[in-house]
Amino acid sequence: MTEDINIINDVLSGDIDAFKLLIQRYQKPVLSMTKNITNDYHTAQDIAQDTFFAAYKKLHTFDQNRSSFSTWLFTIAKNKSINALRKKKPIPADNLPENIDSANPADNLSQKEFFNKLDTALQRLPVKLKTAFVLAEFQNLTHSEIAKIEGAKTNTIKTRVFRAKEKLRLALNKLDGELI
Amino acid sequence: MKKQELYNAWKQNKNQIDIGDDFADETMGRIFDYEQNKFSNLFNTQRLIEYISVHPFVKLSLVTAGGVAGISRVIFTIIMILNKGVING
Repeated sequence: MTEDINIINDVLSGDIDAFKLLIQRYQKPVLSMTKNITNDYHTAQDIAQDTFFAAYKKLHTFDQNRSSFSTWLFTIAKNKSINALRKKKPIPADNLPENIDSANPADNLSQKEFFNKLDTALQRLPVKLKTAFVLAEFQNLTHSEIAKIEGAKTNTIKTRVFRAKEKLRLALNKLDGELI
Repeated sequence: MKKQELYNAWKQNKNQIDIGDDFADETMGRIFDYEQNKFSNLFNTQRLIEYISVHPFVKLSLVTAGGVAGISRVIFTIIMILNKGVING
């Protein structure tokens, strides 16, 4: 697989089409991240497109000595997602699309309820906790990578992820006795 | 199902996302449009602001020019006031 930096150099040399390789490589993690932060698929898709467009326009400012391309891209996506969150009112968690696969309808109901409670708890998290949690748990980024994206210390990120998990755990504890 | 299994299922569920086949093409279309209109419409306000914001030297030159103009105006005003004082006095 061609290294990101080689593709970037190709784009900067005038091969605009090469940028499509970067889009195809990162569209899924970027869209997944923006969706998990904004909690709205259509907004997330617009943000993901804006992210790639902004990345293309500022590609000449990318410095591989400071961060990897994916970290740089996630930083743009995270900033755009937070800006969108500030502009939009929160969407009720009931509107979330479900993708539950279970043979047992009773199981399904509990699982759905469980997912809804977690979704609600996730969306109620303060923005900084939410973004740290999404990047760590869904994007599987390391704490130091998240620290670069957030412009914070690694220990701060560890604390944010821990506090986010605590809050989610608290939300789940309220479900005790209701589940299964 | 145990809570941990449900939690893992939730995480997996949150990672499942459908991307339209045309996502990359649409984004590339936007990029091609941008490239085509990059220099043809530079004096459109939005493009001008965009151009200035991504070129630090242009930004610095404009700020410097603004500063020089401001200081010149202050000096000019002071000279005018002093001259008036000399003429009247």
